[in-house]
Amino acid sequence: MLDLAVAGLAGGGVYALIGVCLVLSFRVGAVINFSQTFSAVLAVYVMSEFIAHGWNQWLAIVAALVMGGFISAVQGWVMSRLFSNASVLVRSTVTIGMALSFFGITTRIFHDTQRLFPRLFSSVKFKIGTVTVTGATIASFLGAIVIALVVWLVLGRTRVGVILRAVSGRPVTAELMGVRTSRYVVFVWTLTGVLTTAAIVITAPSRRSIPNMAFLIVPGLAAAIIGSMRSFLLTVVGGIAIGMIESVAPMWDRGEKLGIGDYRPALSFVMVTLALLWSQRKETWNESR
Amino acid sequence: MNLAERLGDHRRLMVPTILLVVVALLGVLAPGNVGFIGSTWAAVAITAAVQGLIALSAGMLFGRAGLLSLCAVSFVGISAWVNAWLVVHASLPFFVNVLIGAIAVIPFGILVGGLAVRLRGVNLAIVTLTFAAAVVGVFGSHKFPGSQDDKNRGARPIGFQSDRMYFLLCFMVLVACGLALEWYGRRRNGLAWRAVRSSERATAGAGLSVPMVKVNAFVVSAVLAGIAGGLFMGQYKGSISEATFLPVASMVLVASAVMVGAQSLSGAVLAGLLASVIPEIFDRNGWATEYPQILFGLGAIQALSQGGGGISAGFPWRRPQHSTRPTPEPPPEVAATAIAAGGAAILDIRNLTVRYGALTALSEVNVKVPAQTVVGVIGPNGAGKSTLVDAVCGFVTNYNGDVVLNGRPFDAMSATNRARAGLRRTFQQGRAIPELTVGQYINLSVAKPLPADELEQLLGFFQLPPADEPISLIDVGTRRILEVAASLASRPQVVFLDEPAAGLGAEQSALLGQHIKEIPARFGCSVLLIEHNVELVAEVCSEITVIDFGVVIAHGTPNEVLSNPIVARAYLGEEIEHEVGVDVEGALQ
Repeated sequence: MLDLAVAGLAGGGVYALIGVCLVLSFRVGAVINFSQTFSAVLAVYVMSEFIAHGWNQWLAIVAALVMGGFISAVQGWVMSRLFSNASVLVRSTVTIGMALSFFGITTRIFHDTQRLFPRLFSSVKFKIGTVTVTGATIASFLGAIVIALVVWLVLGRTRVGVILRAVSGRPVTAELMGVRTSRYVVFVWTLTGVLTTAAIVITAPSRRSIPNMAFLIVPGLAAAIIGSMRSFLLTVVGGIAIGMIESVAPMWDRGEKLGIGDYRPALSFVMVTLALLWSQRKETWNESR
Repeated sequence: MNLAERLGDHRRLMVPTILLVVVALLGVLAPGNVGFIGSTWAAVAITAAVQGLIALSAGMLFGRAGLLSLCAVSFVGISAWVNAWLVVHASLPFFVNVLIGAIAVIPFGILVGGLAVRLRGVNLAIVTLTFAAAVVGVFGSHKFPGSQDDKNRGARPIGFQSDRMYFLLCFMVLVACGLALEWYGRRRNGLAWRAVRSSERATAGAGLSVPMVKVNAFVVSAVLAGIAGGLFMGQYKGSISEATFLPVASMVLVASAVMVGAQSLSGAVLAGLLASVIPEIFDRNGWATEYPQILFGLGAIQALSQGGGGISAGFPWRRPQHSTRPTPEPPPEVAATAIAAGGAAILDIRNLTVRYGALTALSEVNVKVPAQTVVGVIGPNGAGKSTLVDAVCGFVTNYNGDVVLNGRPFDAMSATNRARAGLRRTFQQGRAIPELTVGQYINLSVAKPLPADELEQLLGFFQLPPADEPISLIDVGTRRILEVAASLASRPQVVFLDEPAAGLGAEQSALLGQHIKEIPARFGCSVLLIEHNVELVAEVCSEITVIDFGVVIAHGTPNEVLSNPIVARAYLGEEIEHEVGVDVEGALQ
């Protein structure tokens, strides 16, 4: 049981990291970026091509991060040019269109063939009691926490953070005060692009296929929703909780034939629903007067 | 009355419908491979019809109700699963299977629709995406019945075995569903979808229950998807796998629905064609099948950047056209029977207090509205006037005090039920819905459509355009007057007009004042008028209450109130004290 829970930390850390990026782009860019993992998957598959050509794996990873950041930056630029005045719903629908396009491009180029992804930190492996802890587990778990902390500190404690919050809250006012809004939006998109690519790189060996990687957006969204699209800390907690429950859930079947394990894919749905109903319990009308 | 008039708003639909049916029949009836649905293309045509139906299901939610759902294909999948089970385990007629499949998705429609009550907009998209992932995941462990063997189970009905005939069946189902949706969309329930998309508060203000409207939209959408699920079975002759219903498929569907604007029959047919013919052309030429995905993704982005109407918004029969009917005649004048102030109160607001956290927006406010009178509430910006309307009409629920209409306490009632019980309101910001016609907008706020002559009289009285004039083509001032007319259509007992003259020109504003004066005599209803235009208020009201900082500072006839120095000070500031030379402090005490 315990080793399953610890194994769940690896997946949970990845969900948490994707969730943190979603919260960041929502708070600063006022958009739910459904395409976030989809563009990162494209970068990760390009990386696998480099590795197949004999590149050093670390060089390939750096190339993937740069590419993930660049694709995302272009998206952010399109967003700030064409949809800066659109509603959150319209902007988010646009990212669905983007997600589809990336999915099509990635599938087209790589045909969903089996690819070689680097197993990072595989030399690191140790035991605490009976529980085996792998390098990937530590990397994604600690990575999620550290990045959430850094983002939280930057947004809350620095001048850049204040500007970013101004850009998200009142883009026009910020613009009138001399802030180059689109520059900051593009910056945040670049950052989330790099971080999401990093998350996908870590988890790629265990996911293997394009849809499996791309739809990591679902548990990522669940984590972000648990954080009410606002709190980085709760997002990390949510992501890790989802990863651990997912990992432990098959256990429930063993003793008695409850059959709950079959419905494990519904976990994100149930958690998102409960979290949203709780966080929105008081909201009644969709607009002010 | 000739046929065109009897068809009314529906007549513009006839052109595309007849065109579609003729083209489809030509395709089916042409001999051999001559028809465009020669044997090789027949399967594609079936796909087009079924995809069209699914696009209609997604398009009506996004385009009509403004609900972004990413699980349309999941509803199709659930119905297809039920159909597959029925084909394997029960030998029922095809149409019974389709019907059961469509009914089976209704609970899921209610579930997701129920979530939409709280989770609007983008939150709903997130929930439905996780729902779509959940459904496919569950299909992974509960495989489609019959998908594990190679048996070909003839799932098509007798007489429709060939691809051509099955296409005809699917196409007719699509046309029937499209027309039914169009018909339903013009009834109050269907019009209410557009109202919810435009403003939930205004929807409740018109006496419609927002949760019911949303659940209703999801159920209708789910049933359309459920019917498509039944047709799917026949299309693939009983062998379906969960791979057909991946969340990506729902995303493609939403993107194509946005790209063409699939909320109408013609849009849905176009979406179906795009979703079937384009992949087929790519496939036949050996081009990659992924390009259509990319195309729909970019197409949706393009459509959204143009305002979101989609390709079909440019179809000639979808473009709004000016009414050809004559302008409604104003009815004969009725002497405005001024009822003396101080009569029995029909609406009694007692000791109303509203607090937002530490801020007291209204404190112990008392207002009485006598039967068949016009009373005014005035006060400077931020005085609490709109909070008063919100509280009395049920949009702010955590208030202290009592609201009593005709001796009936209203405090426990929702905004919707207050509106139904005869307390209507208009809003400060215009809430007329541009996609509707004048007549549709008025009928949205009444339980039963107004008889034609009554509607004509109402429009004539307010000098509004004919009933079939699209609201998108009338000016903003007229739209505001239309909102006043709509609030009176249900014959309420009291109507709150929240700054109805805001944004009107001087002439329009004077005319509106004249109309408001006549409301009690004509509609047997009292008016509580909230206005900044003091001239207008003084002209039409028999009593005025003045609020400042949430407290009633004066009350009486217009003359009494307007000559009151406290009122002048509230409006114009301290200087008035010296100019008028009155001891305001003394008067206040």
